[in-house]
Amino acid sequence: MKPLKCIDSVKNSCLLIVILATIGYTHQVGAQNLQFGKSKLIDSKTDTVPVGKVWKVESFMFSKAITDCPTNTTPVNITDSIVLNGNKMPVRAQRFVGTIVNYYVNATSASSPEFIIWEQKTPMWLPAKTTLSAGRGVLYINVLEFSETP
Amino acid sequence: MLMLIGCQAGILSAQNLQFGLTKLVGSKQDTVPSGKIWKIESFVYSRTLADCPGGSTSINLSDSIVLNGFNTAVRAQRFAGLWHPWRSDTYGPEFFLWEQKTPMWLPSGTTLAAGTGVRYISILEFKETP
Repeated sequence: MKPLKCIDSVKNSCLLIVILATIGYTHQVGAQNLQFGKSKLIDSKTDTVPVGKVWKVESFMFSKAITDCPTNTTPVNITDSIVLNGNKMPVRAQRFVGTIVNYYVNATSASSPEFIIWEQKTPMWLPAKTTLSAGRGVLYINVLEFSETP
Repeated sequence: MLMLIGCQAGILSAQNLQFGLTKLVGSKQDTVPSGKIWKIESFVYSRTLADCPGGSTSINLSDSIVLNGFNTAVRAQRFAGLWHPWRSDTYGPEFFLWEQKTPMWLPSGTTLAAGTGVRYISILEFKETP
């Protein structure tokens, strides 16, 4: 009886290994891997994520620095954007309000300047067929392209 | 078991960027070689921040790199406010600092040089391997 039990135990162990290997393989086949392809600089010309690929937007390179300090009471409202699937999307916004006054002329009329800037967080992952281009104030969109591999 | 090991090996073999060298690009224009990719890690500036202004003159300083021939800002300082020298008084000073986010990945053929206020651009070069 003892040898029989030993054989059963070995059989069970083998069966367990096969089941685990099958589960692991099936899981692997079902999952998608990303394989690096290339880096791209997208400008104002519309580009499309190819089928079977995904794009990772790493950063934006702006064509202008932030605005200079205003020299009068006119507030500054500047928004830089990209064009994503045909929609204009802001990626940086500047708001500057306040007056700079020459103290030799009128020292008491200085108002409190206030400057705020907002930037779109990255990364942004774009699926296949997404269209993308640089919009106002953006020189390049820095993109990494990956292939989806089973 | 072999299948599991094979799957694991398949994942590991997906990497196809191979580190090549580290570079400091100065004011002399350099080009990303064919078959290579540059990763900009950071900018090394040749000047510190502006001193606080001693009057009503605002500060508008921008440091830049030259990317494919375009001057591209990577740091900007804005200082607005009024300092009254006679009364040792200030009126709403506001200092703002902006910096370009990194990393930036540059494909082959891209030209790059340090511009105003930038001493070096710190680069990692990778080789594309199939």
